[in-house]
Amino acid sequence: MADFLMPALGADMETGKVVQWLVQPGARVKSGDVVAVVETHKGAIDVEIFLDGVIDQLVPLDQELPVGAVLAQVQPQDYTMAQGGEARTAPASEPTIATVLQQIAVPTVAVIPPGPGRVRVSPAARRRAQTLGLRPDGLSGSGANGAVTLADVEAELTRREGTSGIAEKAAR
Amino acid sequence: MNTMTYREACRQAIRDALLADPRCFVMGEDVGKYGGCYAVTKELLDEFGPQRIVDTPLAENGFTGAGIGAALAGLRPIVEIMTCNFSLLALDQILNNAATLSHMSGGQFAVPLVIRMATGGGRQLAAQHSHSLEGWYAHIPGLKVLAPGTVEDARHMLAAALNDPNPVLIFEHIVLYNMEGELDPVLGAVDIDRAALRRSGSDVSLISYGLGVSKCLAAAEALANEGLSAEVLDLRVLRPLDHAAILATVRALLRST
Amino acid sequence: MSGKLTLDRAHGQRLFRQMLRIRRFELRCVALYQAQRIRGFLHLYDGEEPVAVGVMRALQASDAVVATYREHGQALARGVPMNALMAEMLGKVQGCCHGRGGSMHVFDRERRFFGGNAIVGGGLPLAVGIAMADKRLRPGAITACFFGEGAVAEGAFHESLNLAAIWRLPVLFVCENNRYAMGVPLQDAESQTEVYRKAEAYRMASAQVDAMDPVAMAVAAHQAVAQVRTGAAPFLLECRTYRFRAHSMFDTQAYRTREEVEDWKRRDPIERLRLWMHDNHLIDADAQAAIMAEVDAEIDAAVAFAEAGTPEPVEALEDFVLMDRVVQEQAT
Repeated sequence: MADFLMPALGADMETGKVVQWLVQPGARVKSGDVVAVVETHKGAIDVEIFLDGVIDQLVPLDQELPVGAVLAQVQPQDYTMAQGGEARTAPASEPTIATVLQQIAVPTVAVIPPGPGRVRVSPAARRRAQTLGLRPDGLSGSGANGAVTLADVEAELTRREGTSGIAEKAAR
Repeated sequence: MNTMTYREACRQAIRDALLADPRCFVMGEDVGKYGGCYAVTKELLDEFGPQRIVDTPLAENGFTGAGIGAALAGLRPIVEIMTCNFSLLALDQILNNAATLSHMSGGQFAVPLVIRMATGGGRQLAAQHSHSLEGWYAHIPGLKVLAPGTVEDARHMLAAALNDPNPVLIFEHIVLYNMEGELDPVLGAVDIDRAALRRSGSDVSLISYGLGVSKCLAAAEALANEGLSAEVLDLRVLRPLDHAAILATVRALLRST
Repeated sequence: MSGKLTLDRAHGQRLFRQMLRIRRFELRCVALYQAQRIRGFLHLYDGEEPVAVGVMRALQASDAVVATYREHGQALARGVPMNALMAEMLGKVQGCCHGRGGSMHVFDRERRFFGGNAIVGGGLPLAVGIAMADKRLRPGAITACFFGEGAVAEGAFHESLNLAAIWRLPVLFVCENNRYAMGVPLQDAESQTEVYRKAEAYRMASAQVDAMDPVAMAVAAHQAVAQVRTGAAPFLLECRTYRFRAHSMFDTQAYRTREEVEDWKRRDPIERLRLWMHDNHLIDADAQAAIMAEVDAEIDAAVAFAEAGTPEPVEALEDFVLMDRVVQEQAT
């Protein structure tokens, strides 16, 4: 069993906080996988893990922790949840990861986090959405595998304009 | 005893160096066709040719860095930066490269480079052409900094500097170039690590370098006429500073009071 | 001279191996840095491997190399022993620079590797000077000088290219154009974004190459080196490349989108070469696995060597501030 520690990402980094986990407890990880997004005084940075195995005991989000603090544990490859007990998230008093993910604000940096369940958005759609101030992830996608396309963004814009038009009319 | 100007002493020193070592060459602005801004390299181009007296474009950073590179790779450049005022353009090369390469490389390379610069004011050359920056440079570890204040030192310090495996900066005060002085024909070499007592005295210690030395000597003469005995210490080398000599003159003074 | 470079099985596998070796080394450095085994700054070369490998392949032992702070790739490709390099990264006295230099200041006298320069543009004048000396003392030798497109904006670039041109010095100026000078994109920094065109101002020969194509890069390097050597004149080779990782470890990459990076990663030169070689039966899965295992074993050994190393003793603090002899010329 090995600890996944808060990495030193810079010469003057003293603390950081995990603002997003890109894996769930019990997920298989391998060396080089990006598993978390850590917020530092410079902004959010993707963090790689250099362990192989099953990740567990993920630390809760948004806690300022010093470099070197334990963020999670990695059990050897043949570890299964049944052996170790129930899949554990952080203690019940703290919000579960799933809930917190929904509450996370969009980082101000242009880092689009990858990970399981990520909504696929075409580059053109993303650019258009950014110009319009829309969040493409929230749109329904008509592309392959539910991908959000440019057409979907345009459709959303039309829908919103139409709605506000109605609201204006109603106001008069 | 030979009498010559400080300028002529510099010139003869360079000439000797070029004759003694084929790896040696002079590089700088107007050192060749112009004959040198202060006429130090006058007629040397005719004698040694353009490979040994290299005229550079106005590119202090470039040609000083080139001097460093050439020293790393086996030559013995004498880089002339016209005046210390322009040397600021080359400060990155002097500090971050010349002074630091031996340390950074863990002792794999020495930088046997000499940089000569004219320094000082007093000729109404105005704000940007009158600086004396040898004090700044004397604070940089990895460099040796010389300030010849006599014709003898102007004549012989260069050879010692070229013989030194480290980057050596030589500051020649512009007012000194015309100064005449005596040269002992027997004296072949000087050191570049010690100060020199130019005049003994017991009432006051005057410690200086470069142009200041001759002013202190003149002051000592004037003081003598008033019955005061002044000692004049010529620092000669600003880095490494000869602390022992400074302490010695001060101690001797304290003892005599 | 033909522009063709025969890429047989041996050559191809060597090219692949050398690039992979750099990539895996850099990855290990990330882990070591995150674990605070490597301190200070760390600038990684992922994506740019073809440039270092292509140029070093074309150089001879008597040539000189000047590089930047992003020089692990150049150092490895040049033959700086990995043990000495890794120990240097960890600041151990067994490092190539006694631990004095670290990641950004790799020097190796035997390989004529003159740094490891951390001032952007600072190495170009050095390269000019080395070439000046070599022109006289080692005729036929050339100096390869690496720098990023960010350095093109520095005055030292202008001064150095001009000097090399007027004095006809054998310098190969290798511009690694990875589009970003830390966080400043090329189009915001340069009035002329086709960097190779700037050589025209110095009446210097130049070329541009897609450095995401390792074979094209190797060919271009080969031609450029040959031209410098035979013509005894400088050359500017602009290598259009991309770094997959951030400028340094502590960089949030706010200046570029994730998509852009992913887009470029699809053009990974190592993967590209691997696929091409696979399709042309120059490599198979077994050979690949063997190369990977060999490379990782070498890195493991280097890390072990470095971790077992020792810091310089305090008594050595003032060593090498001044030298007592011109060591590169006199052994004792």
